[in-house]
Amino acid sequence: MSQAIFMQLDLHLFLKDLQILAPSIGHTLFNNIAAIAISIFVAFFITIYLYKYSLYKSSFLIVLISFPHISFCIGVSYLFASSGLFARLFSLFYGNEVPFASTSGHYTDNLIYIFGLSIREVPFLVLIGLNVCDKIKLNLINRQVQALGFSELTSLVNCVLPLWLKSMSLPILVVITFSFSNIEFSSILGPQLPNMINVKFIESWYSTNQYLIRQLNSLILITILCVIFTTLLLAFLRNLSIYFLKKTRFFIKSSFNSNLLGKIFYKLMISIFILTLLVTFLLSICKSWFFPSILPDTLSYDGWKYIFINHLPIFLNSIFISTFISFLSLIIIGLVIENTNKKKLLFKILFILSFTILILPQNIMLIGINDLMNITNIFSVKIWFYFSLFIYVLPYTYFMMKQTYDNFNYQYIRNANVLGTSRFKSLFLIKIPLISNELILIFAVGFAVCFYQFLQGIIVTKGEEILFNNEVFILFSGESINVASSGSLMNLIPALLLFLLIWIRGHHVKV
Amino acid sequence: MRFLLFFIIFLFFSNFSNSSDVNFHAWGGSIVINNFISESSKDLKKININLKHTKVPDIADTVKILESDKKNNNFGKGLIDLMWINGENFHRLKKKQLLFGPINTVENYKYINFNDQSLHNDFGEPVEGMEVPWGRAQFVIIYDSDLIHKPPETASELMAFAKNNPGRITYPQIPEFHGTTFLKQIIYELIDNKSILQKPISKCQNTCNPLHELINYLKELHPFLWNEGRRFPKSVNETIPLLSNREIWLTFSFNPSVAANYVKNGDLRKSTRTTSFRNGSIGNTHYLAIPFNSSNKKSSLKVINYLISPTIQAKKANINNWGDPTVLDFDLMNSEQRQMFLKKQNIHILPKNKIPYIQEPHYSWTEAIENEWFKAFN
Repeated sequence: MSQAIFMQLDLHLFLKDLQILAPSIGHTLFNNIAAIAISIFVAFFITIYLYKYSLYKSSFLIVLISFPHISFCIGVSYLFASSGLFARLFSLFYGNEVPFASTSGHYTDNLIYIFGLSIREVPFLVLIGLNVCDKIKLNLINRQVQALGFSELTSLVNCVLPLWLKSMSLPILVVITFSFSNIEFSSILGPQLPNMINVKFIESWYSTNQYLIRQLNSLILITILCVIFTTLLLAFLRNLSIYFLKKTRFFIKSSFNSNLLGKIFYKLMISIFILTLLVTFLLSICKSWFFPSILPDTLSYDGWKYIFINHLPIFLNSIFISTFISFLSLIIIGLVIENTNKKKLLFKILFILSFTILILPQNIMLIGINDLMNITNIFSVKIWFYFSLFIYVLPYTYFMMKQTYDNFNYQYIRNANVLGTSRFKSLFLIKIPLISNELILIFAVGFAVCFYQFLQGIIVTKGEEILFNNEVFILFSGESINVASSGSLMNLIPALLLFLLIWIRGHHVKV
Repeated sequence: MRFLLFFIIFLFFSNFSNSSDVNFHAWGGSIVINNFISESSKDLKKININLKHTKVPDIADTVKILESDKKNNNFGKGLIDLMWINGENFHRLKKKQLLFGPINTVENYKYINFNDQSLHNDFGEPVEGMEVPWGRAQFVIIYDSDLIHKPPETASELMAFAKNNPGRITYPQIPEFHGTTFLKQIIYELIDNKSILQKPISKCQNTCNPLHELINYLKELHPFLWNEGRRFPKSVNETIPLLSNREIWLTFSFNPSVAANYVKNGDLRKSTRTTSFRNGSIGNTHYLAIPFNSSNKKSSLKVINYLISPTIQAKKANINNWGDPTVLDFDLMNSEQRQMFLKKQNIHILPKNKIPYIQEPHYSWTEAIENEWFKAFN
């Protein structure tokens, strides 16, 4: 009886919270759904453009992926602030010495959030989308449709898009869960009063206020419901649009140049990334850069000096941790895949585990790990920190390694077996050298994923153990833009260098 | 290759060699303060102490860790050795017996005036040796004198200024402590019977309702704030770039000397000046304390002794370093020590004793003010 009352009371509290949090939920759902829909739309056209014209250009995408979320958000905020770069360019023509009073409210914040999140997710979707194009044999479909006398756009919209969207379900799901658990975009670019639920989640997690602590339970449930709702809504919209296209055969006569659209989107995306990088760089080397100057008033390397003097240990430590975790993950997954096949239980468990980690909102997963840490009270915070980093590198290593093994031509190994070569020798003398390029890429992706983890330092260790990425976020709320920008740039150097090296070596990127 | 291997081994071992570490939990939002702690850390290495600054966004997070430690029976292996606190956080720690002490036994405590009640009462709570004063603060207004010739120095002048210059002022989002202090300052400005704020809020019954007056004032003010009061900076430091770019024309600080440092570093313009609420502005003291379960209490005491020594206090008070006013009594120091505190006048800072100090309201007001703000605006 008492249990039943307790359940009723919980439901009552949840409904009350739902009512209180309704404006936050509204903002969060609208912003995330809009950002995901736009990023899918843009990603599709860029994918088609890149697939048709240049795979070499597409490998540049991996350089964009190495751009940390925090640095990107900081850069975007510098562009759109009332005294930001665009406002300064405007002042060139208007002649105002003082920036216009900022009256941007929710609408502007929501727009900037949607813009930032959608642009940031495009490289990830395009990179996977290109492999999907390979899988669905896009060129063949195009040729077939054109042979029947229809335009390329007809082929793309009526035939390719439905297939492409279906194959992109998992990456889109990853983007959905990321949208509802990220703190960088929602905190730096998102609206305030009310904050998005992602931010409220962290506020409750850190709060000492009993009411907010209790509200965390409702927020966990709301986040899960939002993810499910968004997934179902997007799936419904996808099926509806496919149905609509099949029924109406819309675009059938259109001769619109879709490649031009893809090209514009691609150039625009690259420009935004470069502009973001440029503004951040200029800010990092200026002593002062007051409005309305277009270029810094005085140059200084103080910001970099400050970062090197004060943050070098944590920067090196983060590199060390990321190298260690990525390498460990590579070894473990390699051993499992090498010693099992798809029918074995361990392989299946690994698949389910990787899939679950990817689709479960990260904030909820990490709260679970923190609870486990507190309940079991075994191992130090450091070990739990490493563990929480490892489990987020694991899925990427697993899926990439699995694809590498799937693509491997086993005839070489069979030939070696016929010649009496041991399994150990075949592995080290034949298989590893043949897949070494892929292994380097998997290591680099694992490194970048680990180096850019953020919530572990906030949720699992509550600031006790953090990565350099967390330090950059703290610097951004500091008084010196110069220092924050230097930190932001330094944050992207290790992964950027790694990916640039891979890019220069001319790898064909397969994710 | 060999070099890389050695480098990795070095990093691995450097990560675990922490025999005399003192893990200092302190607010990490200010580069100026972080620099000062970093410099102190270098000094302390000479006496074989490795002071590690854990930069927390809010010390309340550390309080939560200590509460959880006690719940999990972690009485001797705590990760936090020293913390920078005051106000409601101190009250909470003291009430739950989460502090080690008394710690007023350190040698340099002799320079602290026993009769100065502002040092021995933290937001109305007697300190009783459970924390040691480290620095003083006074709530000030930092403004751009090119744009404001006569800065607002009362709540009503602030309202008039906001209405005449829409979008040019803001305050940090509650519960950030500068934001909360701004609200406390406004309450002081709005009510006649200021003594009620020195008593617990529970003593304030029906007829006394300063919170109601505060919310009414804010409701009138908010449409004229930066972003029409629909967006607030997350910390007071976030307002510094806004002030330097003239998005806003004035901001607040708890350090009367900090503007000079910002101007020197190029973060603020040379036209920056400091003033405060002329009828008196909130002043408080910030403290150092040792958690009950610190695993390195002996070294923590040495660090406290170092941080309240006349040399380091003088260094801290220097506007080229941090500019934080000292807690030491000049009468208890010798002339050589006093000499270290003499500083040049600076046009960017608030002259000493220009504005009278007002005591912080009783700690119970903090949560009440924050809750009212959340109810009204969040």
